[in-house]
Amino acid sequence: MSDVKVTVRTADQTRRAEVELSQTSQGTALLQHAVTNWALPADTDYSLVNVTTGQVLNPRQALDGHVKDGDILEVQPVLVAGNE
Amino acid sequence: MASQLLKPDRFARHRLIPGFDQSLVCSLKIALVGAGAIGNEVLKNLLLMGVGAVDVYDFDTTEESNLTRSVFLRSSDVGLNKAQAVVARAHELHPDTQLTAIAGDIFDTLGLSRLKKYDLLFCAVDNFEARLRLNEMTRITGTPWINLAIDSRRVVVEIYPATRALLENNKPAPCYACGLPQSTYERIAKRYSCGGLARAAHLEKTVPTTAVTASISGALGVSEALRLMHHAGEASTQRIFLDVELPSTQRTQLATNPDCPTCSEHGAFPIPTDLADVPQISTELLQSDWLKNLANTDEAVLFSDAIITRAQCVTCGPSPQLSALIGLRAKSISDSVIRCQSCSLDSVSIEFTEMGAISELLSDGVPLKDRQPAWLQHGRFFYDRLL
Repeated sequence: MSDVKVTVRTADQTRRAEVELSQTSQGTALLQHAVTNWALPADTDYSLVNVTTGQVLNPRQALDGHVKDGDILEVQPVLVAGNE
Repeated sequence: MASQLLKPDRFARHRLIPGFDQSLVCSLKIALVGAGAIGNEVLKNLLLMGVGAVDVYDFDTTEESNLTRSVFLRSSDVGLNKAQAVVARAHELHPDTQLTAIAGDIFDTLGLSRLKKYDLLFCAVDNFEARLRLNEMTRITGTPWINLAIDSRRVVVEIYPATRALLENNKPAPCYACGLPQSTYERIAKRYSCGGLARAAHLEKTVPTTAVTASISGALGVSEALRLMHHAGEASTQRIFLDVELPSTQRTQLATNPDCPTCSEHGAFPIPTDLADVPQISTELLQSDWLKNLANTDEAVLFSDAIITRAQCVTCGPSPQLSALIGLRAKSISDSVIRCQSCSLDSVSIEFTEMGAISELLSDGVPLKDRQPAWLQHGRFFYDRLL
């Protein structure tokens, strides 16, 4: 299966990278790489959004069929606060 | 509702909005879980819009730090239950709205039957467990809900329409758990000991939030709720993500997860494939068809929560204090109970279960009414115990 070339960025758009991914790779792996390589806060959970298609990607699902060349994938924090 | 309709001037501006049905809004019965930063803003908007009734749930007490983001709270409310303090003051904003404060943990105060009576639920809590609980409950009852969360610069609004409306319109029906990463479940697991009791020493992360993100969250949430109530058939499961510092707003579609622990075919509460599969809820255990069908069987029923079935010191044996734990929800008990008060050793053995046979529940000497799972489940049948 061919690779796909996408842009990955953080939600605040301060970090951005052009990457080539295997279509069999999962969102979880991509998120882990983003947290590690960009030193994102480790006490936060993240979800992956394809902002080009307007779809939230399931973290445990392969990218195949949900991502194509040129798409922008955004690493968004999973927010949980609001009652303090 | 009738008294509101006799006051045409109050909602005169609303009635000018094309397609806006004030009488529909005045008839809405809403559950608001969380009376903190977001909850205050949601309630303010619901009252100004003129909804018929709001039940406000919160177990927490007001702290000084809440006062910078909560429009209905004052210094004099510090130490008081948030739901009660908020309702006491919010009532002035629109006295015709029936407002009720429900103090206590939703695990103990919000049952399936009660939830089913609401037109919509707002989730404005601050932890994953309560969000997952409300996700499970709304999945069972089919109640539409709006999930709201913030930090100091970002706002998330998630719209979960009624399962029935999605099924009827052949739309996917992902749930809140579908998109949660594994790290969330790992984080939740850290709060509990391997015995399933709450860790006494666990410290929660404090997230910075502001009145600005809280008010945007409340405004967007109520706006989406009103859209959902007016156009249920057009609704889909969505997330709005807003960053006030960029500023940018994204509206994305949530996707079903074939491995979702809650709503997939092997999850706890699978998405019904047609309307005939929608769960059935009963509050009358003894008269229910469910019990009649199970009366002569030893079939297992699932509990909504793990409950403690045995608690005693391996050295000193049983004690009245430890026996009092039997029947309680394991996660509601601190793991500090494993230290025996007689011998001062960490020698208390706790056993719990998440399932049982109905005959066993009725005959083992511990009356069912003293047990604390919120509901019992057999297939698509749910017996609700929190009335």
